[in-house]
Amino acid sequence: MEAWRLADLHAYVDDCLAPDERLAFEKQMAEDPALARRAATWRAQNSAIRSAFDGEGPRAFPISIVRHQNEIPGKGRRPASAGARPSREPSRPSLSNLDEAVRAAADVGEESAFRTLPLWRLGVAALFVGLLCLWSPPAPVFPAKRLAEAAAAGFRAFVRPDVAPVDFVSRDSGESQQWLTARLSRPVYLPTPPGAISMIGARIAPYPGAPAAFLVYRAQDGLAGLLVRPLDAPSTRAPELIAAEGRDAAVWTWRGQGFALVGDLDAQSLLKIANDLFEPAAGAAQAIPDRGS
Amino acid sequence: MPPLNDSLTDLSDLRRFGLALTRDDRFVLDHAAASALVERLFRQASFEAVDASAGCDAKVIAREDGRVRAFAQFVRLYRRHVRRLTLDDGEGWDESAESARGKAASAGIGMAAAVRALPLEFRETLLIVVLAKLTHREAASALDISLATLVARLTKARERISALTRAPTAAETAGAAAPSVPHLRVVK
Repeated sequence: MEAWRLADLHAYVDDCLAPDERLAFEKQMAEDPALARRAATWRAQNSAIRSAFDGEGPRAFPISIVRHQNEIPGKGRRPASAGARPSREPSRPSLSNLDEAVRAAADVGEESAFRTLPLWRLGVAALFVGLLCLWSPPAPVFPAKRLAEAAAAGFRAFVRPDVAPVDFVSRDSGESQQWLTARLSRPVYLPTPPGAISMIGARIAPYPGAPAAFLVYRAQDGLAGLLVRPLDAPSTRAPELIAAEGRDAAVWTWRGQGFALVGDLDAQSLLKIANDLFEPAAGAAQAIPDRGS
Repeated sequence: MPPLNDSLTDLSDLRRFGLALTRDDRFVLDHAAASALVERLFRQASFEAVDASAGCDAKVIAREDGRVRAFAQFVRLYRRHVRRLTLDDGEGWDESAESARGKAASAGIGMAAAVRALPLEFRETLLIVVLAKLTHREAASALDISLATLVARLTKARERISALTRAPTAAETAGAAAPSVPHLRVVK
């Protein structure tokens, strides 16, 4: 096979051709069954590779990485291990080190056995325990504002009078999930809508970096839009209400996805719907088996 | 400063690519070890990608460039990591690929095993295109190779995978099932 034809075949299989080039190549394939067979084989191979390694994607990075990514590193700042030679095994304590450690531990034990604890140390310990009882972990770091702004912009652009707000009309959450997964070429998990709202359908919305899923629901007081996109952040405890683009938006994360709900509703109604969407989803997280090894 | 952090918001592709690439059944055998390695390389790659862009004009650098740059740094660091491990083992760079391939060079193995059995240069090329979904131009840039080399590697990788994942023929099955003749010598 000629080199240019082989390059086009790979480009076709990997979806790298422009629409007109794609049409032209499909015409060539119609005339050449061997070429079409090879393209089909490689396409099937691509799908098999993606499904073989698919379990790795939806799992979130540890929070340390999310924080590291959200901060802006200054020039010249490097991790401590940047220049260090990678080692395959953790360093093992040598025999002399181990001996010293054992001796030090024995010394500490002897000292503490004969020493009375000063009162101020007890006070500090009590204060520490008290603070532990009052302390709550900080909220997870995720780009809530950006999600809310994208959802508000999507809602303003798509939900307009006399314009169909969705590309895929369906009241069924499962159908919409399948459609979005196929269109976005990645797993999309949708929450089951509560009884107070009904789904109108789904569409693709723009988002920096990669497109997002956008769902439109009908509530009693008006319409609501839900933006869903993959996000490497831990699940939030509950939806949070924030203002974006002159609207209220409820944002939360779940199962490696970020959600932002906006609509023609007042803040309280929006938050109630968001909570209803969030709670079954959070409960279902236990039921969905984790993929991958 | 280019919006590198924005461009790296969607890390799932890099992570999926990294986990698939690093778990090679030779140095990295399980998911936990692969995760630890990917995390370390990712941190280092993102720092170096930011540092590399610090001297450039922010207007020139597009958001997609940041993503490609992060992949390029990751691939470079992983190649260096494997090269060091291979040298520590007292083997050459190419021999590592050959020995890994030899372990799984039987027809009819699973897709994941077939991908892991590919030599590193084929594995990284195939995975960056198929799993990370970089365009051919971006993939060539990230791997620091020409488009022609990328196409050649993709062809070889796909053909090898086809050969490895096809069901074994009757002759191969019979050959595998036949007991090997022991090389024994009668000693009086």
